[in-house]
Order: sequence, then C-alpha cells, then structure tokens
Amino acid sequence: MHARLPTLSGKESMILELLVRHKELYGLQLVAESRRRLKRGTVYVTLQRMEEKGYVVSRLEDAPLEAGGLPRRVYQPTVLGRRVLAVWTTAARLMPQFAP
Amino acid sequence: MTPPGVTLRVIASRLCSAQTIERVIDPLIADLQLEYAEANHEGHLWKGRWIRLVAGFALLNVIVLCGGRAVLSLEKGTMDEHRAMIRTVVLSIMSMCAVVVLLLAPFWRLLLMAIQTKHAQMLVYLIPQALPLAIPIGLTIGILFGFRGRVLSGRFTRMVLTMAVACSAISFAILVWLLPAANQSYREWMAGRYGIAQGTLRKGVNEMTLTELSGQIDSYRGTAMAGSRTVRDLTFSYHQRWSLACATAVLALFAIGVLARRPSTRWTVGLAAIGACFAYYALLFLGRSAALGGTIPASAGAWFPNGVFVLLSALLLKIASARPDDPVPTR
Repeated sequence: MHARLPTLSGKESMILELLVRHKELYGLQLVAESRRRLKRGTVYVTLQRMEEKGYVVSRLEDAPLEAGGLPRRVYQPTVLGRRVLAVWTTAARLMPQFAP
Repeated sequence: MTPPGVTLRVIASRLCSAQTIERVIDPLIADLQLEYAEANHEGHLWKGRWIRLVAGFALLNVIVLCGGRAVLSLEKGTMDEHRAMIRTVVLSIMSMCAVVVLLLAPFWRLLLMAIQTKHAQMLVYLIPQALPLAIPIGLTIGILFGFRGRVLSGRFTRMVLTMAVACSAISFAILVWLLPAANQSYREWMAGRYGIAQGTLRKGVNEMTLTELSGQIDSYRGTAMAGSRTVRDLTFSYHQRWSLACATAVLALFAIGVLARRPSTRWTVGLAAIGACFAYYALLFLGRSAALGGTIPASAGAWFPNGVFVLLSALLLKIASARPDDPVPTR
C-alpha cells in the first residue's frame, strides 16, 4: 500500500520558508514578513492545517506584561516540514512549471 | 474598556469548534490585543482604532468561514447523505418552479397577451404572487423526496433547518417588500392599459407594506370601526405576512418529523407531501374565513395553519423518539 505523498500549497511553502529562515514566528510576524502576501484572516487557518499535517508545531508564549491579553501562539517548523519544503523546492527547481 | 476581540470570541465560541477556537481564533485575538496595546502605548490612538477595525474584520471573516463550514460540514457526512442533500436542493428548486407555473396557470391568457404585446414585465408582477406558497411547498416536497428512505442525522437535520430558515427569510422579504410593490405596479399597469385611472392608484390591503398596514390598524384603534370587517381584514393581512413567511420553517419541521428515525417509503413521503400541501392550503382558507367572519381573532386565523402543523410535527417527533430504530425498507 502506498502512503499518500505530502502536499504543499503555495501559502504553506511560503510559511515554511519564513519559519525555516526565522526559526520561530507568530501569525502577525508571518503576515509582516510575507510583505502582506499572507493575510491575517487566513494565516492561522493555514497554520492549523499545517499543524495537522505535521509540518509545524506551536507553543504558547505569554504576552508581554505591559500589553496583557491572551498568550501568543508561536510556530516552528518540524523536521517533516523542513524535509517536505526541501523536496518541493528541489522539485520546483527541476520542474518550474509545477512550482507551488 | 473591553479588550478588543472579546465579543467576537463569544460569538466564535458558539459557531466554531474548541480546536478552531484554540488554534485559530485565540491566536488571532492575541495578535490583535498585542498590536492594539502597542499602538496605544505609543500614543497612536487612531492607529489603535484602525488595528481594532481591521483585525475585527479578519476575525469576523474567520468566524463566518468556521460557521459556514460547521453548517455545511459535508466532509463529515456519508456520501449517501451528500447525495440526499444535493437531491433535496434540486428537487426543492424544481418543485418551487412547478408550483409557480401551476399557480400562474389560470392567468395563462393574460401572460400570453403580455408576451405578445411585449409587456414581459407582467411576469415580474405575477411571479411574486406565487412565490410565498411555492417556497414552502417546494421545500417540503424537496426534503421529503430528497431524504426518502433515509434517517436524517442530527447534522443534516440542522442543515435542513438552516436551509428552511433561510428560505423563510427570503419569503419574508418577498411578502413584505416585493409582493406589495409588484401588486401595486400590476394594478397601475392594468389601469393604465384600460384608461381607468391615471397616476397612482390608492393602495389596497394587498398592496400595503407591513408599516402601512400597522399604521392603518392603529388609525382605527379606539374608533367605532375597531371591530369592523375592514380592520379584521387589515389585521389578518398583517399577521398572514408573518405566518406565511414562517410557513417554510414550519413545513420543513413537519417533513423532519415524517423522516425522523424511521426511513420512509415512496408512498409515505408522497402521501405526506401531498397531504401537507393540501392540508396547509385548506387550513389557510379555514383560518381566513373564520377570522374575517369574526369567529376567531384575526391574528389567530392567520397563525392557525402554522399552529396545527407545529403541533403535528411535535407529535410526529414524539412518536419517532419513542419508537425503536427500524430497518431500511426495500424500495
């Protein structure tokens, strides 16, 4: 039986690239770093999907004392996420017409 | 002052799953609160407000997405239920069109003449007349035949009820705004054609909006005319707009009652569909004549068919809940 090949959409690829480059980021930082190519209304939906796929992991980080409010969720790429990104980047280089 | 995002989080908690709240909504609110606090700390009051507005819209966007996905969570149903749902929608639309054609059939000469004389706007005036009845009848037939032979799951019951409420809202809009305007335009057009009247005709009961009807009823209050047939007619018409709009949801509830737990055969749903449509129509006329004759209050006459069908649906659901599950019948 064949296991399903991991898939990576354009947005997921962009998020993984940013996370690999910065080690860990939270949603708003991802939106800012992507130069608004990622939208704040959908970035967490994509991150939730990526967490389900096992590409990223998250942890809660307390908000700064002076700001208060809810704790922020910070994301890091997993080993699987890094591998999938590497494979897709290679594939995209070899077959640019299939680039995500 | 309430921290930004608190109200939207309460709304989201009713629509989205706990996982979505934890993974999507809360991080979004955390970002919003942090950004807002930073802007306020730097003294950028307007920037803070702008952030609140933009993030509020983003949050609303996610809530709508989550709510829509929860209502239309097709991926979680079985393939058979998906097909049944699609069949329900298609059959409902087809039945609505058929009822419109059936109700407009007596006017075929008029319609033919209008088309021949290039006055196709006649159709626009007449179709809204048929829609308030076509929508509840069409949806009832659609639900009964769409889910024939199946037991409605809780998720699909919610979906069907959501669809019924949406149809009720459309029906309400037609009854309150479209129908009175179409009636008046039709009368003016006909009057103009025969040279009976020039300009705007005085509106009758069927041409008045809810506000106008309510105003008329109030104007008679405390006068000698208060208990007259004219006032009963106005009051009945006012309440009937509301009750007819609710008819879609009420008849959908009846259909759910028929389908509840026991898979129904073709004959059962056929009988239930035809019986419900004719019974509702008969009760409508019974309620109307009793209300206009002064036997019962005008409001009671208007709500009479809905009352009967709500009781009937409750009875069906009660019977269904007391009955053990039956096997799927052979069709």
